[in-house]
Amino acid sequence: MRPKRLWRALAIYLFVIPAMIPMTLIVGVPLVQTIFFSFTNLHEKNFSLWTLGLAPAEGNTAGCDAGARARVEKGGPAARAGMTDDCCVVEINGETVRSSPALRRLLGKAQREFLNKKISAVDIAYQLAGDASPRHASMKFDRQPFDWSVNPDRNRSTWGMVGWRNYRDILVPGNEAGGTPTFYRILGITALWTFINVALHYIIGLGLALLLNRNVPGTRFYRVLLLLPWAVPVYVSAFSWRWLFNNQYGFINVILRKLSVSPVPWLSDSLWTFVAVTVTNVWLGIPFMMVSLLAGLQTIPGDLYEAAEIDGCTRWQMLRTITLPLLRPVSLTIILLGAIWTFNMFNVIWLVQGGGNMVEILATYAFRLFRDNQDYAGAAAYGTIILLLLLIFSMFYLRIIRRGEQTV
Amino acid sequence: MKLSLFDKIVTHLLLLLAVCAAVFPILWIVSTSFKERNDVYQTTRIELIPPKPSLDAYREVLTMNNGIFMRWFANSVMVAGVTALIGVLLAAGAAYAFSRFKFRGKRPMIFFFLLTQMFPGAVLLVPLYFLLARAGILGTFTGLILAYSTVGLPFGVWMLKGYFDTIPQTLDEAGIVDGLSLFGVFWRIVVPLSLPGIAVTAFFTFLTAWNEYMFALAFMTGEQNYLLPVGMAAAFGDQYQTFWSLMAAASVLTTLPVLIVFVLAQKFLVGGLTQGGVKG
Repeated sequence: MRPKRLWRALAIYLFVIPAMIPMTLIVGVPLVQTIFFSFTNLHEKNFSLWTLGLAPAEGNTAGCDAGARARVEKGGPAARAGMTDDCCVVEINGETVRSSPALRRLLGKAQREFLNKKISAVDIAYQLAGDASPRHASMKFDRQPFDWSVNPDRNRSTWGMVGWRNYRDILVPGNEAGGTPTFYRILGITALWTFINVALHYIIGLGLALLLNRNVPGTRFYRVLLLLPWAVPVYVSAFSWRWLFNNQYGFINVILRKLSVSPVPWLSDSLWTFVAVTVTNVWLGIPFMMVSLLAGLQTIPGDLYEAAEIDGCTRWQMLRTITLPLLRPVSLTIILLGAIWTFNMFNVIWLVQGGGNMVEILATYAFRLFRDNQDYAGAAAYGTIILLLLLIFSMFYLRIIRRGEQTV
Repeated sequence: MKLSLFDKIVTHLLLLLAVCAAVFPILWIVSTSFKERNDVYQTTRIELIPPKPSLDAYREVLTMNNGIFMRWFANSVMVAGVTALIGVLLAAGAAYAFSRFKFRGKRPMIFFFLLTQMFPGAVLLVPLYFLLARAGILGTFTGLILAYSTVGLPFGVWMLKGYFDTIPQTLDEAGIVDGLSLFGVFWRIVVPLSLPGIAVTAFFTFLTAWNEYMFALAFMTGEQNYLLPVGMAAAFGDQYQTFWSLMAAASVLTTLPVLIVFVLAQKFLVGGLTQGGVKG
């Protein structure tokens, strides 16, 4: 009997472990790493694209128009190889460099190959002002030692811990020119965005689920068509709405013109962009709420309504005293999930605006920090703050649910 | 509850209205894709049915750059298909354990699953990038498939757990009495009974991979290796200029396979969704 019980306990874990291994490695480790990065100064200068001590500079120097001008970091490996401040990179690993973006791209490619362990050094041909022919250098990637001591200088080129500095920069209002500091402004928009979306998803989803639950002939047909937005790839729906909202040729503005109403600057004005992304996201999110609530409705026994009808209840009373209380468990779960997803709804905001920044929520702002400013530490701090906010929200939410259940 | 004729008419009207709102953006893309270029860029006319139907946009999309679009399509099918397969296998095991057993570490695991939903995926991009690079699978489909099947796991586990919860536990016990092992119960009793739920989960895991944009953009280099969303964005439109008719045609082509599966299997899918899936 004994070994059998042990085997059973082991078998249970055999079911979970295959899922937990990739979850830990591919989501868990990066998550912990990100939280760690939020306490470091991992930004532009320390980002590994620059570990060669070579950064593309704008503009071309004289006699250097074929290639890209590079800024060489003092003391970096490039400087040690004999390159100077004003040098011109002609070739990287045999590929000709024609512009600054190309230099950036080729450095990135070399870095990727290095990380993939395909190469261990980069061959660079460079030209100094006044030189007739390019010189060659083989440069090793620099692995900068990590500085564990808390280093308050964000602009030093060594990378290390900066303590709470990134969080302070975000949360403590600095000397930004007037108005609400960036973080609080975006937090406000994100909260508003989440509330409006989840409320509309729930109300419309519930309405449609109630209508479908009446089982009029053709319900099946309606249900499939109402679910279609869910089956369409998100970027296609985003594109489709972007097209509908197009200022010049978009369907909505054409209709407005026909009605002799002045067309609306949908995607070039913050307020209207907010309306546009909200409409898109509401359209996208309804099917999930509708299906979940419909499933909940179908578990409610019909005799409850019959009894209520005999007692002379109105429909509104039935909705309030039977339907909503019995839907409570389903509703609470999907509202929590919906709120978490909407809070981080990167895709819709990003794709409907085509990468524009008329409307920004915390998740898109964090990504922009990383992509445009190479401020990875800042983005990581934003990510961690988002995580904490949602965690606190969920805990309060669950506590309120529990309290509600005790009183009912 | 008996509905009066008036109620029935109102119900139909409201549902029809909702269906129009749900379907219109999709129809409009289809319509745009069949229009001639001049009819696409109209500022005063609205034509749902193209006045001069043309296949030009499709021809251009399919023949562009030696038919690279088909290459992207094949890449996407392969990546999403394998992702769905792996994702469902992993999710089913975990969902079964979560649904049936009490074991040490269960609550932290569920909490961890919920936690991963709270962290913005776009920020995880960079550590994941370096992780894949260190494993030597950056820029390969293997890396992308691993990332997708993991990212889709929490939702898959949640859906399948809800589904497994609806299968009476007495069936498991009967199986044990008949001499089946735990794995036998899972494979011979629970899995066959929950095929609709598994189909739904597979479908949505497939969609996760089919829809994803950010990871594919960051991890894959070289036109040959693009997946559909990245390829489409690169070829037909960015922040500054979009070739609407081409984009529309490409959108129809990428949506069609998913929609066909959806409509063909809708009874299965909707059944699976409405029976399980919601009991958190």
